[in-house]
Amino acid sequence: MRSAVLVVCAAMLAIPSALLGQADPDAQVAVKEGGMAWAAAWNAGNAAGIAALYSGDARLLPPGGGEVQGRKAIEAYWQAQIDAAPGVKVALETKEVHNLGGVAVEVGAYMNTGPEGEHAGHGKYLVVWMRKDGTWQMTRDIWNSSMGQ
Amino acid sequence: MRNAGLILCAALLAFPAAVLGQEGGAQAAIEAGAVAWAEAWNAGDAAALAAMYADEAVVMAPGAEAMQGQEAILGGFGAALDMSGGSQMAITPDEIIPVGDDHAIETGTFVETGADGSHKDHGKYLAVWANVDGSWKIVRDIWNSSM
Repeated sequence: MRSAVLVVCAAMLAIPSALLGQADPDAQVAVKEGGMAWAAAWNAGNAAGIAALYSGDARLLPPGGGEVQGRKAIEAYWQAQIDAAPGVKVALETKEVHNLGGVAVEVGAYMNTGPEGEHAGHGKYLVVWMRKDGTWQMTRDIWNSSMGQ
Repeated sequence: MRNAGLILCAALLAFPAAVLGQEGGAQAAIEAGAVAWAEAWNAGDAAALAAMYADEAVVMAPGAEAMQGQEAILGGFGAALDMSGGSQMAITPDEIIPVGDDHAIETGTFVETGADGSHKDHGKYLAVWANVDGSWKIVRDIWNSSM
């Protein structure tokens, strides 16, 4: 009887644990690929492609302004940034990915290069990814410049 | 038999949850942490600030490379306090997302007021917290100015 209860309990516990994706090896790969897709979209001037990486309810916390909520507003934000930085290319480097179980914290670095190949800024970012509907989506995004003021 | 199993399961599941006190635990600890952080800054106490971070924590301040570890964080906040001219910080968490039993993600806003009462800065932050041996510590911290 006791063993049977434990087996039933184990089965009940296994289901939510699998849903949380605590041992999900795909988080590392998905987050790194997401970063590459983000940079590729920026470099193609494709704000919709950037916005598609965020969840519908994502919150962007950009320097120099208030927060931006929701995918539509996030697309408009990045479109304005692309328009304000013609010829600027972005490279992203994922430095850490911590999968906390359905929620992953990414820390990385960005590097901006101007049209003549000149250094145009660098800094660091933290992105909270959440697994929603089977895909990892950016839900919180904050960054700052590492350059002296 | 099936009902008895479910009741036992419920009892087994309820026990660790009650012991950990998870639901209120992270939220209350982080809200208290935001108050303690501001109090430490306002007292010019870099050691108290550094003590809020885990040993391997990473602090990503604007205008500088990332700092890792309590010693670097202590030095960084010490230098920032020296340059702050006695500014006062108000911190308001606006979201705390618990992740499992041992992590939480906090976002919020800050307002920095100069010693003369002038508005110096305001912005937003994101902190990742971890339950380290029963006490909540900041493991990653990043912010920026909204000005």
